[in-house]
Amino acid sequence: MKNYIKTGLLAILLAVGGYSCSNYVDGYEVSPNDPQQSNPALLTTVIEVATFSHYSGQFARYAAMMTQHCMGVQAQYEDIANYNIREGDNVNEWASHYSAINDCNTLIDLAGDANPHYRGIGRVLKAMNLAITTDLWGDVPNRQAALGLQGEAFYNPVYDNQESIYLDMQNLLDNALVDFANANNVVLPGSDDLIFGGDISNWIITAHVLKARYANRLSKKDAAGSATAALGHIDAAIAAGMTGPSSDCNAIFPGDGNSLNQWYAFEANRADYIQMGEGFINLLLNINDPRLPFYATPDSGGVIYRGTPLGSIDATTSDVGAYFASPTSNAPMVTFVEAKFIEAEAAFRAGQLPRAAQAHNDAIKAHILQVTGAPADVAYEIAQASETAGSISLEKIMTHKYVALFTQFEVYNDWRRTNIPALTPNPNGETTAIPRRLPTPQTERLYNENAPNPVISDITLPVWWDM
Amino acid sequence: MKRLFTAFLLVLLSAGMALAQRTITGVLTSEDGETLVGATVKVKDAQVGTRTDNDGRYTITVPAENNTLVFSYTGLATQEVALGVENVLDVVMATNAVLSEAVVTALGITREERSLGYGITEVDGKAIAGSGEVNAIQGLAGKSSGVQVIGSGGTPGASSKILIRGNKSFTGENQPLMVVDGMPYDNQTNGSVAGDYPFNANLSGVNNSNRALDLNPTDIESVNVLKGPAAAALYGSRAANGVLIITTKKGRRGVGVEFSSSVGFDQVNKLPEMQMEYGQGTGGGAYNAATGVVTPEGNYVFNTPLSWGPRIGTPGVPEVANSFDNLDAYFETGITWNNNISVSMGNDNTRVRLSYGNTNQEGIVPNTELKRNSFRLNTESTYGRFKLLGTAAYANTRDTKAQNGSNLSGVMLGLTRMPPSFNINGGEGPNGYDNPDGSSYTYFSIYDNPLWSAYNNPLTGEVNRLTGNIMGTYTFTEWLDVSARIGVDQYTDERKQVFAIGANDPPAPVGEVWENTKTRLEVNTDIFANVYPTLGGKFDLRVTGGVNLNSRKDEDLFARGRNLAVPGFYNLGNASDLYTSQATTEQRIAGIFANAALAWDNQLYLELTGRNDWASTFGEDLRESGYFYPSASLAWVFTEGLGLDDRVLSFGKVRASVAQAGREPIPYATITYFTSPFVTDGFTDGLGFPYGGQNGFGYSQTLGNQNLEPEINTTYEVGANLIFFKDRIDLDVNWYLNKNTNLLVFRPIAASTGYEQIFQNFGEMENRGWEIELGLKPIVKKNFQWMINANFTRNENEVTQLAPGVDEIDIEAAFASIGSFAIVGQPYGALYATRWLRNDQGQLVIRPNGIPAIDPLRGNVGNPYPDWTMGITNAFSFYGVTISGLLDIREGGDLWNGTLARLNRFGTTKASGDGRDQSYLIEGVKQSDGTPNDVRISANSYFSNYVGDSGSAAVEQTIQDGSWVRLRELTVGYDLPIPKNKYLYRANIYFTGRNLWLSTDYEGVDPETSLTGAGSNVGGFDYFNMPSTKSFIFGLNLGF
Repeated sequence: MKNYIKTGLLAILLAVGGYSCSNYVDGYEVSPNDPQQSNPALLTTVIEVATFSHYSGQFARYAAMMTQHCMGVQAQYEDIANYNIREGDNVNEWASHYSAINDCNTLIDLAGDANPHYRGIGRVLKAMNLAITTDLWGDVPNRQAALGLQGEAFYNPVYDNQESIYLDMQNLLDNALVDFANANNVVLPGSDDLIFGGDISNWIITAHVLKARYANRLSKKDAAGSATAALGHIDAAIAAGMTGPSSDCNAIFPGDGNSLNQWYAFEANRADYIQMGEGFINLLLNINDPRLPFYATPDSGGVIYRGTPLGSIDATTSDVGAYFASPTSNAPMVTFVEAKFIEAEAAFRAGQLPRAAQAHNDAIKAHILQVTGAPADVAYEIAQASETAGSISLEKIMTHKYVALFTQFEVYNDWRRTNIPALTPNPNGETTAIPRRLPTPQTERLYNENAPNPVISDITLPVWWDM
Repeated sequence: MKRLFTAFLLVLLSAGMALAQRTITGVLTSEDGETLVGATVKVKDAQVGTRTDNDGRYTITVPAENNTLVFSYTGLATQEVALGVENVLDVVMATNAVLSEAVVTALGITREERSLGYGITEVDGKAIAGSGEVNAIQGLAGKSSGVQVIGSGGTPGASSKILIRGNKSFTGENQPLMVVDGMPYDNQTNGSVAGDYPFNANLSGVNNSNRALDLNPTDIESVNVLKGPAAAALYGSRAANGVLIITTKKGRRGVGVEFSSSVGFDQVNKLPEMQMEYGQGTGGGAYNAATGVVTPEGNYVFNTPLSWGPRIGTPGVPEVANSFDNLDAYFETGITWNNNISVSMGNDNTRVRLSYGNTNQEGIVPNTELKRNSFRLNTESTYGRFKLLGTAAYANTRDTKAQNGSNLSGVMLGLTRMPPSFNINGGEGPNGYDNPDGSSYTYFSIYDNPLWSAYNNPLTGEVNRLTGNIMGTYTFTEWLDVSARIGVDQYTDERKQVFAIGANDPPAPVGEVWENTKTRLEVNTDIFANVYPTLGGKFDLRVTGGVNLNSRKDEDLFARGRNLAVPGFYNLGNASDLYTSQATTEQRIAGIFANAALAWDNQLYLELTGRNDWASTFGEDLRESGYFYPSASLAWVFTEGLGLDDRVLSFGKVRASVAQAGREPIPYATITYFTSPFVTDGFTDGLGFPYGGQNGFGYSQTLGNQNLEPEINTTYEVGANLIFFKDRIDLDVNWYLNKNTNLLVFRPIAASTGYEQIFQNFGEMENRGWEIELGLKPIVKKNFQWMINANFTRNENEVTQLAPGVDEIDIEAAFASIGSFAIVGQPYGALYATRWLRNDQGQLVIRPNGIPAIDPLRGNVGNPYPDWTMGITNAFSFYGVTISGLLDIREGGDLWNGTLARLNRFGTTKASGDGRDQSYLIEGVKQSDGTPNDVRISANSYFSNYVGDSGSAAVEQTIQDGSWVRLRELTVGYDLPIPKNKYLYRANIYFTGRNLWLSTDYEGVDPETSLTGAGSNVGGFDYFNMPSTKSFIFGLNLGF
């Protein structure tokens, strides 16, 4: 009997204990450190900042190294200069791009039909981030990408071919333009839109120029069609009010500790990892380009401009100049000057030589004014920016685009398409040719069943539009 | 009148029963005169028993047919006494050194060691205090089987990590729970991490401290190392990794004063070997393949980190005129003062001990120090059936630390990369390490002069810690007592880091100051009852049941200012660029537990436990239901049962146990949150929020999971304890198999999903191993004793399962070139990096330039955990002189010698100096045609691309064996002959040497090193780690 009482008491004790134990731990499961919600404004800022990093960080430097604007002379950058590029090197960038794409999808959903301007911004930024991934890795996840929140079934996104991705990018931009044309918005972007402060007319221009850029990208696939399409988009940009650099889509760097221009931050953190390239400095010297003192610092002697030769690790040469690498320098992403060069190239390809020459001349003059603050001097203009239908050549257009788009990722795409300027591979290179892509990221090999198998390790293999 | 009546009644009653039985009373005392409370008194062969009261008194009624009483008390020899004529029987219980050592187990319950069915090692507090270590955890090194202690460096306060039976979790804590006097004692090692810092802060910064540092080793009476999860039922999930049950010294009867004082001199015990032949510059170590000419000398170049320049003393190059031993000039002799005083008072009812300890350490690195002041009060008080225990401790620990690791302001980075032609003290400023304007005098603009850095970029910290607990026990009857205990562990850890203007570690050399305040509060409540049901026969049963409530809260406030206006003035108000971040975690666990210990005939012992836990970190379902985990253990003292001749085998026991512990997930993993990200490519400090005044929140990279389950640790263990020749040989052998299932992993998912990881129960990992302890007493004479204690540990760990499709997981972000991974089929924490490409015969494949090719895929290149370890203590005692030495042997344990690889490439190592006058042919086959390689390479290329760390070199080449044999401790003491004196009863002087001798093949600092320290689940990285120390300590102990 006594035992029954004891057992009964114990059971009651356990039951009461169980109830209150559960109560004791309830209410501490939600983090006080992070919110469970965001909104279109907060997402817009996040995505734009990520895009700034993507367009002016590692891949901008990588492009500069591949196109020999710069030379890597130390540590990891010596490796990049030597084409020593491995599957683990760019896993951070891969992840960062898809994180931005995920946030773009969230912004597009959250903005919804009620806030088409925010949705349009999300679509443009998604196209911009998707473009870098496919331009560097070729076929990449797209339609099944960034759906991880929906569960296990979406953990192995399939790889879409690059052709379809380019179609999707154009669709995104088309839809963005429809969004921008819709004036019915509950909330409008403002200062959270770091790039344009909510000025939708500039977003419209940017969307058109991007459409031109991505159309022109397919020059090797469809020379004529790509030219016609690109010119059409440039016309649309002009019709939308593009008159000069005031509508440029730039990465904005307020210059505080966590918002430093990334070329500056790199020079500060990794001094003497990269130097100006000899070929590029010599190109600027040869044409007596007024942009040189803006593009580069004098060498360590303090007087002359000198680049590091191919394969050398001389770190006493010129560094990237303050125009691009001051704490608060904007980094160009989609610009009027680029639009003009696209126009020149596409017009040239389409046989519209006067238009090509005019656009070429306009682009150079506009850029010199933009960089130096003064118009090009007469001698320079005569020598470099006075092309005619008779004198204009693809070589000239692409060489000047190569000069004007210094620090931009686009130069690597242009060089791959056109082989202009002609570059000699680094004699110390791991590969005998200049790399034309990145290897499949290590994390994809390990964690995505749908990643290419075997992985793509040959970094000289061209992507689809480069074939 | 009333009293008279009662007495009459009693007499009447007893007279009535006297025919059948008699009543015996008496007092139980120990040999040293202490009354024994709660001792068991039984009538042999009858179901009658009682326990002694608080005065040690018992009263028992003995049936007429019985005439023997059995007295037993934990830790003392059980006695059977035949009854005589007297009805008063006082018994003095003898200690029995062989058969019943008492150990403190979970909840402070004292048990006879013989009754335990699982492995436990008791380390005497004297051995910890006597190690000369300031950190009690480091003082455990080499003293117990199953235990691995890994120090992180020789600077004051540098953390020491402790693992028992290896790693058991991928993401959770792997170190054992520390319990001090029944209350969990926090032993976190936390770095200061700004909310916008995107990298692993363990790789740079300073050597952080593990908070066991706040415990004064001199206060420790004993440490019981519980190796398996046997105590998890009573302490909860954290005990899954084993428990360090620390008992502090208690007051004794009478009045006593103890005083001890020591001074220690610390010196660097091992450094990388540097070359003294070639100065700063480039181009040296060249080789002309056409002519075969080797040119060791290069050209002087200013502002390069390379030492491939001209030969020292080359005429016409004044910059390389002399060589300087900068390492020698850098490190100082550290001094450690240690003073302790304690007062003990006590009578029959109340005992008190109050202690004060003061430690004052100046480090080997200039301007580093540690100051600890600690107070501890322990009280025990008995009033009738009520017993009250209380402890209160306060510690104040202050330190100044220097920059370490992968850090442009780091000590070893700037120092060992320094060209021998550069004089660290050659600046024209007032201090030698500076320029006239006070800036850092350096050879390469992005590295700080490490002397300048030590004085200008220190971290100063102060911890104020209060711990205490109160426990009351009420004994209702001889078969029931109830205890309640509440304990608090609270501290505030305030740190201030300054970087002078010009310091290179911050993203820009504009000066930085940050303040970081961490507060911790843990409150732990236990309410439990012990029931001793009477079973009769030879059975004894104790049942314990109770409730445990535990809450932990950590708060972290970080405020940083950059871009300082007034040089040398370190206040956030002096900065133009401010940032703050905050992190709070709060978690709660509630558990109900039961424990039943059944003994039969002093030889067979069975123990069963069970616990149900509710933890706040689970999803909704498991928060509601909780989760259960049990254990069972069995011990058989077969010498008792079989009645063997105790002159040979004096004691023999076999034991077996299976124990389980469930572990809750880390907080806040059930929900996918939005975060303010920082966007970085790894080469800059990236872009963060608020950005230009705008905040931003995007999806976190980690998916939340509502379906998290507990990690299950199941340990099977069998062992035996054999004592021969009356304690001359004491052998304890243990084998265990520890299976960890349902392990939570941050399962990496393809980043193309938009997320990088999800927390899921997928992992499985095993530890299996042997623990052997052997005690020998070859000579036991009155004035000459020789004792040997050896312990051997072998733990093999294997990761047996990760997530579906995942064979490798990066445990913690590390370097681009090397990481620490969990790989299926490999030990946890395997070093993962680039390997050389090999052909089917295992030969290196050599590229046309003479350098081996690298396998495009990275892989396992080493295991940072040892194959086995052994500690051997020899102690001699001879007419008051004691000599003891602890030899510590570690076999295996790989380290990534990233320091050596970088220094080879930069040309400052001795090898790169000596080997500069030749060309090299790397053995292997040509990539082109498979014929033997015949392309010679230059010394410069060899030391950069083969044994260096250029991108062409495989990291595999830089993995080195961290095996060692060391004389960890050597102590010579002398008990001064004391004249018969009323006051002084003991005086002892001693010398202790720490780490006086070290033998290892590792090229660099002492291989007992860890860049990531105790705050990290990974190890085996040496990248400009601080060196370790050896110490010469002289001390005095006095007892009054």
